[in-house]
Amino acid sequence: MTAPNVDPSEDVLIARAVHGDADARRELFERFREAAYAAALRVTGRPEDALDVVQDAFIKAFESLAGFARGASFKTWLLRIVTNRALDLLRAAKVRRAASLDQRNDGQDRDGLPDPPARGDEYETPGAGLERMELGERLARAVASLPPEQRAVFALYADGELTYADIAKIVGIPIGTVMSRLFHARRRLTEMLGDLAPTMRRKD
Amino acid sequence: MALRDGPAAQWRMTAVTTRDCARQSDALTALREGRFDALTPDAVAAAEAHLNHCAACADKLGAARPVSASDPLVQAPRQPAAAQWRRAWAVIADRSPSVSSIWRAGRAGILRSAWTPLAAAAACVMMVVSWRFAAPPVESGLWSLAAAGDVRVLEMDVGEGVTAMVGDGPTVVWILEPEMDAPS
Repeated sequence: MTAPNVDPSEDVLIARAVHGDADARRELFERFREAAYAAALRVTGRPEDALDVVQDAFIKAFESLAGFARGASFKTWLLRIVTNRALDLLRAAKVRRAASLDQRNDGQDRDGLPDPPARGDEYETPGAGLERMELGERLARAVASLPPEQRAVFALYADGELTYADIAKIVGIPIGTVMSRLFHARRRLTEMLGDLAPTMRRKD
Repeated sequence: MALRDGPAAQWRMTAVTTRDCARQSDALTALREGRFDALTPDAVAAAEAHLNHCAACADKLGAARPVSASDPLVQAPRQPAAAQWRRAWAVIADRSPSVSSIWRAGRAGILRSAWTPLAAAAACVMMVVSWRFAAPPVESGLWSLAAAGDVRVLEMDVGEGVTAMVGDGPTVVWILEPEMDAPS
């Protein structure tokens, strides 16, 4: 039985990809790479890390595709791999930072926000910074400062196509906890970006 | 929800009631519609506790999709350039195995893939075992005998001076047709 949001042709692609059909694998990559990248970027906060995560996730997916349950959503399964890989990367980076004596101040202030730009940087004054930095970049930096567990839930919420049950399954937490983390993530983002309130209108 | 009952510290569990669902209805509706800003932290904590105990409400909310498309906090990130995607695909194609193997799928994947052949093999083994141990009817000249696999004696009439109690040791129960006599 196929899940309601699964394209029947996806099962055909997966069956071919299991047997090494390069065109089928390429098709899967092109269908889901953007969603995978967006989730990875929101969790890792760095484009180069996000691309590495996407590469690793697809390699892992093609390695273990034979065990994928037919009829389930490939995207949900792939995003689980992406999210886990991205969180692993964050943990590894945190361990490296903690171990490094030279990087005791990792650029985050006590609120978990990135330090303001130093003088002489491109953004010499807060006013100039606001003018130059787009809303998207400010948002990306704000999301990158969330705790990892909130970041993961927010990244999957932002996908827009997953149900809350999918998100709960990917992250491995109950739905109530999904909603709580999402609420606190959005609240924190709103507090950090409050000065941009006139710019942030609900999109219709 | 567990409630303490009296100095004896007896705990009793109460099931989630429809009244709990009704109490959380507004908060759950706000969550389902993406109106997070309408809720307080306490309301969300109460909704979380309810959802983690009420399968019906969890299923209903779980089926909903976030309305993140209209959320101003959600901005589509800039995607890599075409050349970066080509390089990423080259790496993936180079490092992926030519054929996916169930042995890389993890325990769950292996069990899922092996379920059908394992179940079929188990069914064949059971058929062979039951065929091997089902004793054929024995022709004794007087009547056909077949070993019963499962006998329940509901009542037993015994002759005078004979006990109906079954002691230790091998016991043979003769089940006769009414017109037959017991062997001597």
